[in-house]
Amino acid sequence: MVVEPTAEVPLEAIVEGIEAVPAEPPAPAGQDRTPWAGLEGGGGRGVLLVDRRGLLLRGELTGAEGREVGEEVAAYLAGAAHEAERTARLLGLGAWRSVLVEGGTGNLLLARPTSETVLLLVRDREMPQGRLTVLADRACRSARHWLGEQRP
Amino acid sequence: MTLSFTDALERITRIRGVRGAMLVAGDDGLVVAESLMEGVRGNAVAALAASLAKRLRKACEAAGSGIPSFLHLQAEAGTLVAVPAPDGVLVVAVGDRDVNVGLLRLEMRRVAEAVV
Repeated sequence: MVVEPTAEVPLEAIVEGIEAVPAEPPAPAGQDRTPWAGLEGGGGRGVLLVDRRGLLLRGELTGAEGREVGEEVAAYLAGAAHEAERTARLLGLGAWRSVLVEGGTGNLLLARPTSETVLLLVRDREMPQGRLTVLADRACRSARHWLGEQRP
Repeated sequence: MTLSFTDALERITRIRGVRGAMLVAGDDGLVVAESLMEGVRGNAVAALAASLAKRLRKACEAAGSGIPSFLHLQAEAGTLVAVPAPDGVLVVAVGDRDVNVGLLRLEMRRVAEAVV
């Protein structure tokens, strides 16, 4: 499901400050170039791109019972990202870059594609954490590219 | 094996790049025990780590990934790591940006199992 930014959250505010993203080569014929191209495999449960107010911008996430939980999780992510920012700032750690959460049945990685958005990558526990970080970096690049394409 | 609080925290702080380690009451963010380098504010670390852990637990459960067993906040100038222990206690460590997180994770898990 795709939720476009609303009038309350102007797209200009979300894409503001993102670095110029070089154009990607066109997708091979017959392939749909999604924002998460290349991230689908490896026990993936989903990828979410969320704005600072917990509104889902793009992506899907399958919960424990196989139902779509993207919007619900997006709402929680805004609070978690705010808390991560506050924690890093007040402890003098500088700007936060990522948060890894190892859960009982899956691992979550939060990252910041831009200062106004949060990206969540969810994978099965079997995926090594180092690989999860690499995938999140790739997803952030894709998210920045997608956000850049949404500029009016 | 059960460790004293002091021994448990020492196992973590002897890892290179660790600035401090603490045991924190997860419910209210109060300090249970601490071993910190000068300049690390124990009360702030405890309160913020507990609050962050609560938020992340909600997100993790909503995502269908169960209860968190390890949290790692990576920031530009440092790292915060938390591992839930039994009885609602959090084992928390603050480290430099380039601390060996893999080693820290292993040691903190051992401490979480041993401090009861």
